[in-house]
Amino acid sequence: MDLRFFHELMSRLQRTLAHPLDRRQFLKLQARCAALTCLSVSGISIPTLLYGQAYPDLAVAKGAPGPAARAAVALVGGMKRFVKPGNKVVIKPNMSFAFTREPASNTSPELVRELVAMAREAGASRVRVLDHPLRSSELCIEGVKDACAVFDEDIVQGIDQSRFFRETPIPDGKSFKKTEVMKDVLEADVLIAAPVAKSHSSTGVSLSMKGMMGLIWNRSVMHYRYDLSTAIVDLNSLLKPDLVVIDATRVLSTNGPAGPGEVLSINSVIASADMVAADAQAVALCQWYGRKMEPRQVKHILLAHERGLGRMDIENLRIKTIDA
Amino acid sequence: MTFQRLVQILSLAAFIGLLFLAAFPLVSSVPVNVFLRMDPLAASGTWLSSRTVLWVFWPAVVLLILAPVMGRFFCGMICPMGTTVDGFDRTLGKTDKAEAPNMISTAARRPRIKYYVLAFILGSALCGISLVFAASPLSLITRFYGLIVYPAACLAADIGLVVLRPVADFLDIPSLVYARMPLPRYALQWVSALMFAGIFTCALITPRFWCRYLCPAGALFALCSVKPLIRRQVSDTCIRCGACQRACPMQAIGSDPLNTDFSECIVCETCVRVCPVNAVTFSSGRHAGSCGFNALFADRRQFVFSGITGIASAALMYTGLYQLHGKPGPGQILHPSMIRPPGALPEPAFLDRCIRCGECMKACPTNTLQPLGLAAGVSGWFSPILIPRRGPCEAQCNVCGQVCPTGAIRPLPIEEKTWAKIGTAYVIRHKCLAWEFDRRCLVCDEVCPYNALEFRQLPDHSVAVPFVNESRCSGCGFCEHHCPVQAQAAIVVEPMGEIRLAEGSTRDAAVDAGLSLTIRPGDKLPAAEGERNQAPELPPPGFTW
Repeated sequence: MDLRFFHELMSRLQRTLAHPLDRRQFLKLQARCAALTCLSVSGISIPTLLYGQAYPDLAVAKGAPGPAARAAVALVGGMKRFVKPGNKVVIKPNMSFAFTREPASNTSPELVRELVAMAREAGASRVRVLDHPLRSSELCIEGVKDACAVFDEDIVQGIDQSRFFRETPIPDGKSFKKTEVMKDVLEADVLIAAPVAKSHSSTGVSLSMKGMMGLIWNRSVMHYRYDLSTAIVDLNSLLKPDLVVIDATRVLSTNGPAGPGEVLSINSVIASADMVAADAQAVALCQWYGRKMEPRQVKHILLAHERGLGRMDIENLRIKTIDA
Repeated sequence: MTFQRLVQILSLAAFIGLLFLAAFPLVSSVPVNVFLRMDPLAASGTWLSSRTVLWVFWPAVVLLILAPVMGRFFCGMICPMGTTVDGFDRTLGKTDKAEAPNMISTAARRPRIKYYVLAFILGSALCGISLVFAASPLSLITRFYGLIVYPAACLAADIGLVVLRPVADFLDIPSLVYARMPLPRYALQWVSALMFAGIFTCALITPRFWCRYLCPAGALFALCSVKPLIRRQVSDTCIRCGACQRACPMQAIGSDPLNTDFSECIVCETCVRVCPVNAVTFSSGRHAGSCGFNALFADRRQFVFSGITGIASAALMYTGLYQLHGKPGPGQILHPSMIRPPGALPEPAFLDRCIRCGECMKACPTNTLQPLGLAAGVSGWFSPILIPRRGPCEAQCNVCGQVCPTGAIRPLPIEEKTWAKIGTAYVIRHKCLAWEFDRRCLVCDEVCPYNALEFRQLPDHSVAVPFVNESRCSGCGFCEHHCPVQAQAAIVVEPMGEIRLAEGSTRDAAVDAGLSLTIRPGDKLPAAEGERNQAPELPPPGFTW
């Protein structure tokens, strides 16, 4: 039983207590709680089964980007676990490079479309797919935009003007203490990171944690003023995705982040509510420059683990795999 | 609204519309530069200076051929400069449009120096120096609307969007919430603005001051419409009230209203409208009326002298240190900032053709194309250069060549444009975050569309450091633009090794020069190979042990 389970139980209780109870309801509740306590104490029942699904920490689904994303998210509890009706959702894929399918420097449009569909099914009132692209915005987002045109292509935006950002302190930042974050992200209820798995010649890999740099205005300061890995973890203390869905269907294993480089067909999608675990899993899943690497060899993953932002010790986590 | 006004407004609207469409991606089915190609001065000056008959100027030829038939209708109806001048005349000029008789006599004595301007420009063009840009009305007005009005309009529209945004957000219209205007900025704004202010405030002196006295393209039309077939005719019913004479914006009507200086008449038909007895018509009738009471060349000697001044100016251009014409002699005088647009002709030919209309700068999606100051002398003034710190040359864009009216920038298809190298980047190591400050920075590599940067892990450096692979560098400036180092970037593009051809395939030339300028994915990667072959005791780039 992990902390998340208690958290949900507490919130369920809070919701119940928010409404005034009449005496009959109160007695019923008392009776149920007593019965459950007796059963679990006597070992007849396991609380996790009674109170609902306990989700694995990590899910890996094999298959095409769209179906695999759906399967992986379903394993970690389904989109309804993360998105409540009426929520505002921001999805952050990688769409920072002129769109072409092969170099694997951008997230698969089909995966993003599936996430949008799932968020809408879960009752999101507003879904936005946002990135702050490096190249000309129109060229970068066109792939994802076309894919999302079945809903509304205008929800996909490459934001390249500073007025869409608002200065925000990073209270837990060690060196990087304030930055301008996209207003939509600050106002969102749910943040979903949807990075593509790729190598990065200064941070080793670029996954969900590094990808949060695409939600701020001034990235260059992270390069020239701070240690980049420390600054990434500082940023992650502020921007911590609720759900991470990593597109490892094809992985740019060399010469990232821009490529072109060697593209591996891993045909997997990783989902987790823990960004550090998801990134660690992606590091362990693929070869980088033809070598097996460990999550601790990526400095920002190690730092985030040490700061308690998530867990990189995937050998101790519950991982479920599935073929989609 | 009169017919002439209607045509004027439609023509100006078409001009502005086409200028607006001169953008990336180019969607207009009508050539966006068609108005520029109507300018007979731009045509003749460019033909003379480049020693080439450019067929793109056929609209100017057609208009010149029509001038002996229909007179200067271009000036009165089509020319966007004329319409703009009219607009300022209405706003700034005297409300009583009629000129007092004493004003008329003053104006009559004022020399029509447009002929001298024409002689000056053609004189220098004869020697191979194009100064067309100084007075070509279409070039000037394109610059006015493209580089002064357009950025200001964008700014205003942007403010409008900011005001609308909360409403759009409330109504949840994402297209409007995220709508944003390009916010172009241009160098030398004040220089241009003051020049146009000068032209337009001449409305305070007389109407159509520019067209009457200064416009050399008007002078060319005047020379072709000394006595056009369809012209102003005055019947015997004329009562000689002088109303037409006072109202004529070009002062083309003599002291006897029966007389018309046809080479000055712009067929606006104001005289027809003001005549109380309907004595004036524009027709091919036989009513004679003498013509040409203004001597065509007010002073033939001055005309010749102006031509000689043009030739003398050309001589100055050829002997100025920073001018790029002729044989430069020993040494390398090319200014390092002079990165020309991709597909630009070799330098002297480029300057001969470029009429400085600014169409390429208006169209450039990254706003990197900017007017040059005096780095290439007076004859290079206002020609386009790239300023990578402002914006990079977008790898998948070739719009500057597509909109250039004279072919100074060749209209290369995108596959050829990719190979039109405009310069080479070099790393300034003592400013580089990786080289000098041991920071993990790879922005230049990340943004390079041509994969021209290699990061190598050197034994005496704690982080990988960048090297430019010259054979893959196109000079696009993405690296310089995005370099996080403040002020002077740590990676800089200079016009070194540029490939500029008058004709032929840039791709072939680049391949011959040993270059590999491709943005297609999947081709063999020297950079990745290098990283793969590095010493096994080092971790892969970006990883730690």
